[in-house]
Amino acid sequence: MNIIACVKQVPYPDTPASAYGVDNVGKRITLPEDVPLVISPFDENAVEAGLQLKDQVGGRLTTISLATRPADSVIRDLKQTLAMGADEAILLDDPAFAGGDSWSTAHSLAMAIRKVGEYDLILCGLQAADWDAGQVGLGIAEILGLPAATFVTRIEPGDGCVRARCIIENGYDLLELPVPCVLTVASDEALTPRIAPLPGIIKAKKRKIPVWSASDLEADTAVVGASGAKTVLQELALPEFEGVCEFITAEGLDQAAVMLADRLRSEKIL
Amino acid sequence: MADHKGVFIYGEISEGKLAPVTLELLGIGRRLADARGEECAAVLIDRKADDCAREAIACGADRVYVVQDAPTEFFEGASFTAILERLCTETAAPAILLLGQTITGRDLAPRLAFRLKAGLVMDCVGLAIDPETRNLIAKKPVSGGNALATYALKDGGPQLATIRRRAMEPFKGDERRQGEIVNVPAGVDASEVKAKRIERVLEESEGPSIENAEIVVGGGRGIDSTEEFEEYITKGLARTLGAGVGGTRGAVDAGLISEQSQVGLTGKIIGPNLYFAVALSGAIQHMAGCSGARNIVAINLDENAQIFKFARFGIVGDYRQVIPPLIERLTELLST
Ligand SMILES: Cc1cc2nc3c(=O)[nH]c(=O)nc-3n(C[C@H](O)[C@H](O)[C@H](O)COP(=O)(O)OP(=O)(O)OC[C@H]3O[C@@H](n4cnc5c(N)ncnc54)[C@H](O)[C@@H]3O)c2cc1C
Repeated sequence: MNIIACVKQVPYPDTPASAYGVDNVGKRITLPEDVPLVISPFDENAVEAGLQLKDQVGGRLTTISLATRPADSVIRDLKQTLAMGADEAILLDDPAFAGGDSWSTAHSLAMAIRKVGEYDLILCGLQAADWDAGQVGLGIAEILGLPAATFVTRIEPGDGCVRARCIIENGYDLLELPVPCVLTVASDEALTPRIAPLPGIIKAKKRKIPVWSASDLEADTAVVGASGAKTVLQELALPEFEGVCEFITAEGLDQAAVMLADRLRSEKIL
Repeated sequence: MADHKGVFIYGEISEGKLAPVTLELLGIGRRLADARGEECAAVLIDRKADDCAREAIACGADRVYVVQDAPTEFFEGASFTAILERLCTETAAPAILLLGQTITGRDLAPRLAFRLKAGLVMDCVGLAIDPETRNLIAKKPVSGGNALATYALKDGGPQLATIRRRAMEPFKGDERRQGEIVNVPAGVDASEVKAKRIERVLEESEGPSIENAEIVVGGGRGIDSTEEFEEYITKGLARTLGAGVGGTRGAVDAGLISEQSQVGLTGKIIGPNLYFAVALSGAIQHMAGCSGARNIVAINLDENAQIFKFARFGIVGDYRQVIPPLIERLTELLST
């Protein structure tokens, strides 16, 4: 099975709220320099899902990342996917890609996927932990005219198809999708990314990552980067947490619990 | 956007009634339509849609498109996209289309946006019309809720957004409001739906679904075991209150709850009147799923836990000691 996984680099998502700042001139979120850049968690789950399928039925896994930050740090992340077991990694890097939104990113990635050519399955994370947009995977599917499923937590290979377990409102669906198709992956214990083995890391270090520009993709510059974007970021702000918690205290926890219940009643919450 | 006019909302129906998020969609849809001096229409795709159409008009719609014959055996992600695409291109040409940031809306909105070549902002907590350009302005949390971003949608074609629960006020219902109900055939044929549903497994939860529940009890990694989760949460506090049961990613990872019950940025988004947060720390990604709760009550051992920043009431203590007397007192109160 030929699998492509799209990965994005984001600032470490468990960074404490106090580290966040905004720069409204540059229209960007600011973080201290020591906050590491990592592969977005769901994208790592997508890579893991791809590797598991490869382990089961063989094939190739190619990872693709569109650089939204300096290329060398994104290359480091792509090499990590190679170290984990991916066969090839491709970086999309071009000033023409800059300032894009979900619309333009999905177009750039879709064109790169076309250029890769042979694929049965395209995996994306459900959403990236920086802008939380949650559109690119389904966007790629629409652009390439492929069937797609979201909120996928398990994938099984079939004959000319894959089976995907997808979270729904009150349970889950088991879907069968003919290949090629697109799945956007959510988190699941079974998709915890594997630790790259040492020989893999050493081998990956020596690999050269191909870098594709907009012209390599024969991309219509009107649909990629800022010129292709359908949304314009106007302003950034930090949220305010207004809550003032009323701590219920008493002689013992028994008594506090009773007082809590009474407060909920007197406040007409219950 | 010369030929695109009016605001469409995609309304979800739950247990035969308009889901709470639908009332909020109608509220904001109505206000945006008024700001543009245009109509607000609701699209309802459900076997029971007809019964809900009057309610949608009372709650702000000028027109309701009712699709009752959508084949239930088809995968909705594909079939509903096809239905909505045709409604937005052949039947009408709305300037704005709003959906809920629900599991359904998160699946449908991007598909539709790309098909309609439209801009989309997901998970909005604020929506307005730019008085100059008449374009949609959309505000949403980013970086898991650590920052807020405001986007302007560009001209040309429809503009899409999904809304977070409890971020928008519903419209005050008025039974006398007039509106038109238009029946539209689904017209989906099997060739449009390549993904096949093989099986649907519904949670055997005794409580209401958490996306729509008025009370939700959520548990975190601090709960000791599956047995204790059942004893104190599912069969304890939640059963006493008739509440839905959810939890954190920490609880999912610890095997305490199924992934379907995860609340948060990447799980379900809930908007109950009351959320009991038990033995969970209040991580920003969890709060993204329940920031819409009107009242949060936290029970946590650690007085410095972040959950107390969001809570209205809090008890610092072990859930094993707090929950049993709480249940006892609540049972007394609720029987009077
Ligand atoms: C991209 C991304 C997306 C994410 N999406 C989500 C999401 O959708 N939903 C989500 O929930 N998380 C999500 N997370 C994870 C999130 O950051 C936290 O790791 C998670 O919410 C922590 O779960 P928790 O509060 O149960 O566990 P912990 O943070 O470990 O907290 C456990 C709490 O239990 C308390 N405790 C322990 N014992 C007791 C006791 N006996 N009595 C009372 N209190 C006790 C402790 O004081 C502690 O506060 C996401 C993370 C990332 C990076």
